[in-house]
Amino acid sequence: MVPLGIKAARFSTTSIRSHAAPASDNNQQVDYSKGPSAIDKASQWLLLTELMRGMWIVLEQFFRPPYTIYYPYEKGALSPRFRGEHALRRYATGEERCIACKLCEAICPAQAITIEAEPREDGSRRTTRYDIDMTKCIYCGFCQEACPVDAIVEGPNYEFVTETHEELLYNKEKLLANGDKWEVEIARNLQADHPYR
Amino acid sequence: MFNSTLPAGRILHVSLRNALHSVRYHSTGGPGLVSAQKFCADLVRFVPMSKNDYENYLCIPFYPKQVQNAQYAIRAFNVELASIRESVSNAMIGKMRTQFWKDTIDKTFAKKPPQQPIALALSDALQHASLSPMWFKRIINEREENLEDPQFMTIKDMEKYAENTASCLLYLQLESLNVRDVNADHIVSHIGKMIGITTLLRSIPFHASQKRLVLPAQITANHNIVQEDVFRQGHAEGLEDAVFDVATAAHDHLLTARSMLKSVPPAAMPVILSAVPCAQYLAKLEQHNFNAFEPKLQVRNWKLPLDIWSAYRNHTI
Repeated sequence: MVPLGIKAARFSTTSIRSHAAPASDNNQQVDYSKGPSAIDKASQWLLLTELMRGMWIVLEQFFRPPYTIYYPYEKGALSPRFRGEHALRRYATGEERCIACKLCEAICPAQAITIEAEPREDGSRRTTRYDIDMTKCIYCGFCQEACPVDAIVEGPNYEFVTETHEELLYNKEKLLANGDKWEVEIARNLQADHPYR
Repeated sequence: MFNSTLPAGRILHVSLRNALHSVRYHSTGGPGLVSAQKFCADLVRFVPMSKNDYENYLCIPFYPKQVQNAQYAIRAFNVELASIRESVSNAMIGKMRTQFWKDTIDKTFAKKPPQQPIALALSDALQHASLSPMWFKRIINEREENLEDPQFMTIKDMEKYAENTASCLLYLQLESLNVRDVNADHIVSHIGKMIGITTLLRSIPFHASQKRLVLPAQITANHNIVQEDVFRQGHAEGLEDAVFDVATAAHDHLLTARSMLKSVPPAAMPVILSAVPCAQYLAKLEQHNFNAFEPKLQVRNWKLPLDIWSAYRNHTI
């Protein structure tokens, strides 16, 4: 390739090679006895078959299902690793998974998680307060990775817009309710994502 | 794991749990114990592609009834630890998780288990069998060291890893059977090394997909293997020879174990059964010319339950 500076100096942007056919190419005679005949080529030009073929593709697309989706009613595919709204899960017995080890609070780079814990009457340690400030959260998924009992997860839900800031300060009840609502999807996603589980 | 926990189903579970409160089917455990044991069994059962767990699930019925729940707890503990590596994105988070398990083992042996199914099941198992925390700690420590994916340098390193993970599990299972015998310990050490190395061989395709090569560096250097070829093409010049070398090391342990089988008390037989699936894998690997990427090697053997049963009957592996 000719450097751009030299091109500009020649007052011409076409390369010299394309000014005229090289001498060696002059000897090559095109063999018109092979390939499409002159009538074929003429008919392609004159009857505008290219135009027709282009329009045929448009017609095919017309009868195909559209690529667009009617968003609130139809939703696109999500990866099992999608990190959306948080949820606190329960065991099948209905007992909370979270045992207040506070690893998620420690790992959270945005410091969005606040946990307070105290032992229950039966001696088991549980959280009394589990708050996530969803406006601080950066959805990195570290809380989910750090949780040794798979309690806090980022589920597949991405539709949780609110009108006020306060509604995005989630407390434990909201997170547990999310877990109840999304448990089936969350369990499937965890199973799909981890070959060693 | 649990596939459906709809609120309605949960209410049913809660009422079931309350019923257990009043009926008390277990003299030792609290209300959550039955579900904790079921959780462990499910964890071992529903991980068919994972590190041998379906196969170990098949071995558990050969244990005496009263220690079967202990086996589920031990195996579920192993599943949890083995899955740490794949569920974290950096080693630091993995270390937090292993620290949790160290604390859990400490608390469980201090009779104050956290409300976590595996911890509850283990603490129940401790009442039926005397397990020592040392083996648990060794498994956790070895897995923790392995979080950063160091490549093994020699086959000795691989054996050390296998000894500290697979053999320790078998020691625990021997302890739960209350078998205290030097010969049993010796044979189980060889079997554990065999199982550990075989598991690494089996997982070569998976590890290659994660851009990790588990073969020891000394052997890959001997055969001039280009790592990048293994990652990109799934096959590299000389890979079969390297796999052959490693498989030979595993097979040597198997042969040693077979030669000592006569001297082992029959009570230890259920533990030794864990070797059957791995021995079959090694035989299959030889059939397919030590090509670890052969898809047929990953297919589950439908005759395995029968094979384990006949191994138990004939006292062979």
